[in-house]
Amino acid sequence: MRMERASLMAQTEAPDEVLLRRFGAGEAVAARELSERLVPRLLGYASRLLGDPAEAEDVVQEAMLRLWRIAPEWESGRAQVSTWVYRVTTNLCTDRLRRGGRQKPTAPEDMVGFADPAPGAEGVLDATEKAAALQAALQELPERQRQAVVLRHIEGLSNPEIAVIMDTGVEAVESLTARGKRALTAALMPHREEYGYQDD
Amino acid sequence: MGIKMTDLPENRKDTSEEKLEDLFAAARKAAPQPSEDLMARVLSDAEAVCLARATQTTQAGPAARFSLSSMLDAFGGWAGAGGLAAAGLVGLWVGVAPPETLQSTLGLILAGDVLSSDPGNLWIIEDTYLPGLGG
Repeated sequence: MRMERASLMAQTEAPDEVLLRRFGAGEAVAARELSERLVPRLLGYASRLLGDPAEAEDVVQEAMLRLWRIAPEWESGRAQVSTWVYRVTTNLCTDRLRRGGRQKPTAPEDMVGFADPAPGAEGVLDATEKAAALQAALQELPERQRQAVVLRHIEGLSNPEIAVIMDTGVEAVESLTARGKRALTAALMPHREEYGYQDD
Repeated sequence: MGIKMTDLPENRKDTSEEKLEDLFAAARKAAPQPSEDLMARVLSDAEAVCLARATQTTQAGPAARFSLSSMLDAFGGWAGAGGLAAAGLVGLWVGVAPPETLQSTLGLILAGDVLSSDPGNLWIIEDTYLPGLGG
C-alpha cells in the first residue's frame, strides 16, 4: 500500500505543480482537481493529529487557502506542492493544540465515526474498531512522534518528504518513527486479544 | 507504556510489527472523507482568491496604460510629444535669455507706441520680426 501511494505521488507531483500554476495564472477551475487530490489526504492527516473532525476541516480549509494565495508566486522546483501543504497543515495543527493548551488530540471515540461504516458490514466495522484503537494509542505519543508515524505509516510518505514537512533531518525522522512504533506496540499489546489477535 | 520493543524476543518483534502494520492498514481504510461542505468551502476560497486577484489586475493595469497611452495619443504619438518637448525647451530659453530685439519691441508694444493710430508703425513690427517679407 505504501509503495502504491509513493508511486502515485511520483506520478502526480508534476501535475500538482502544473495545476497550481494554472490556478495562479487565473484558471479557477484548476482548483477543483487540485482540491480533490489534496484535501482527502490533508483531512486524514489533520484528523489524526487533532482527533477532532471539525477542527481538522478548519485546518485543511486554512491550509488550502494559503496554497491558493501563494499560487502566483510559486517557484518551480522550490518544493513539492503536497509537501508544502502538508507542512502548513502540520504547523496549523501544532498551533491549535498549543493554543488549546493540549499536546494531545481529543478523545479517540470521535474517530470511530469518521469511517461511517455501513451497518452490518462486519469487516469494515472491524477495521473501524482497529483504527479507533490505533488512534487511542497514537494520542498517547509525543506530538513529533505522532506526526512522524502518521506521515510514514498511514499517509505513506517517504522519510525525505517527512523530513521536509517536519523541518528536520532524515535520521531524526527515522528515530522519531522507530520510537513511535515501539511506544504504539507497547500500548497496544495489553489489548491485543480485544482486537482479535492471539498469542503466536 | 512500560514495555519496550527491545525487551521483546526477536520472534515477538516480528509479530508485533505485523500486527501494527495491520492496524495501520485498518486506519488507512477508515480514513475520513471530506464532506461536500468542506469541498465547497475550499473551492469558494479558491474562487474568491482568483476573483480578488483579477480585480486587482483590472484596477491597476488599465489605469497605468491609460495615463501613458492617452497622453501620447493626445500629443500625436511619440513624434508629437517630441515636438512638444522641443517647443517647451525653446520657450524656456526665450524666458531665461530673451533676444534683444524681442525685448525692445515688447517694450514698444507695452508702451503703446507701436499700436498708435499711425498705421505706418506696423512696419516696425514687420521689419523687426519678418525681415524680407516687407518688400
